[in-house]
Amino acid sequence: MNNVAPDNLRRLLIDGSHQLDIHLDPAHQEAFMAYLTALQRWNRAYNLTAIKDGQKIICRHFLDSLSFSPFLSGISGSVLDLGSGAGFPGLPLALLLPAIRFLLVEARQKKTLFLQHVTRILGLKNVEILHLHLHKGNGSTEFKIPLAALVSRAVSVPDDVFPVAGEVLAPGGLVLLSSTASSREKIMEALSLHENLRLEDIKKVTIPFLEQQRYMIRIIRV
Amino acid sequence: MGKIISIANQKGGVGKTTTAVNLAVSLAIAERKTLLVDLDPQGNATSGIGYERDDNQRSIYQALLGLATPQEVLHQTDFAYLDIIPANPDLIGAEVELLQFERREFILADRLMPLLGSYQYIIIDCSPSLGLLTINSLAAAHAILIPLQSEYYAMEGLGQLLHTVNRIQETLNPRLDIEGILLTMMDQRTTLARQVEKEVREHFGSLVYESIIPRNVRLSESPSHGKPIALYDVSSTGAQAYFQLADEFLRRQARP
Repeated sequence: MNNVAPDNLRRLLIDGSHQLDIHLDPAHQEAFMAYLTALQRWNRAYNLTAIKDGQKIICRHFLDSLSFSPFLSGISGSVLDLGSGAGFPGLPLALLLPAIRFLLVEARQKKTLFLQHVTRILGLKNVEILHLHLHKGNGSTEFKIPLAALVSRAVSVPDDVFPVAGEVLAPGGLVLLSSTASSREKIMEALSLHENLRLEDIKKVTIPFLEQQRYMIRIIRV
Repeated sequence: MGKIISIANQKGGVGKTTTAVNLAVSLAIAERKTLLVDLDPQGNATSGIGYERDDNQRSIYQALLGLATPQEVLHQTDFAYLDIIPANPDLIGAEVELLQFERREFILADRLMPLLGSYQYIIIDCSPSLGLLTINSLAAAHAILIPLQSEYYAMEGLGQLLHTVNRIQETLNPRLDIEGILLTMMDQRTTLARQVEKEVREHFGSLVYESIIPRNVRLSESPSHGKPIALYDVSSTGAQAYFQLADEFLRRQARP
């Protein structure tokens, strides 16, 4: 599984995005391949993601991140990716949605440096990277608020996500969390403690080539 | 227990400080607890990492002369995993002042001892000489990393350096190892540089790192901005080369 020809990886990306009803033009495809190469190269020394295999990176990181994009249609303004890690879901979304400004917040320096590198090599103009640990109380001072939306993958949803969302989102702002069945319950439990956030709906999302069912949880800042 | 690595070559301008700073930073980015010790009176590693010299004089000089504890001269950097013991011009006097001490070759080794438990790697940037400070660093080190400029005279002086390493192994520090030889300032476009590389590899075999540090404008500019290359231009060929070196360096550590 390790030495899959780049052509096949590109095919996988194209087929997967079609299944998500997303069209990637050749420039997008090039960018994703460059992103993949950079991630694998950095992973050798810097161990950024547990998933290192090309096919798995495409499915579990790229396509998983792209699955957020239909839910962001109609958003204008800035979107915060909290705990962006190696750029998921923020960077793939920034590639696909150049009209939206993405703020990627990450506390670990090896990851923020990687994010800067990828943003540079992909020539992304709609991305800002912040090296900080965002928690309740400092969100409103670190960047220009209010923001239109906050995105995060539940695999890495930090405990701070709801307190921060309450602080940095405009009224009517959107929190988008992708979760598994098991993390969904924890999320709902945490949400019940926040009066300024209201559950909008939960939709089933199928990630191409991935058996595990995902759920997109939409929450509105009241 | 930390591993002490001395970046040494008595030739000037071969990329010692650039290597000490950027290797230390690259290891710190890899989340290895690292200490950079500036043992060059010019203090270029100190300014290159962006450390503003303070006049409270908490530097390696005070630690060497016993005027401060090693812990008192440690400073944090912009990197969570990297600390520095800075140098300042006082250090020029140290060469002479250390002569009065007994076991004068082991002063640095003694001073670093209490810090060994706190760091995985201690990187020492030496001055371009084989004076008492450099001898101290080789007496303290587990290994020496030798930067070599990819130019016609690259090998010149290397014989003398290796002879010194041998002498130190025989007398002061039997555990001293050669960590590796690093080709720096490589201009891949010139036949000469490629010839130098070939010659060095033939001569020293696996001691020579696969990773090569290229000539890179961004790399030469970065010290004047007080930034290691990772912060100055993370996507430059210079930054990428040092990341690759750190990767290779760490892989070598894993070998038995």
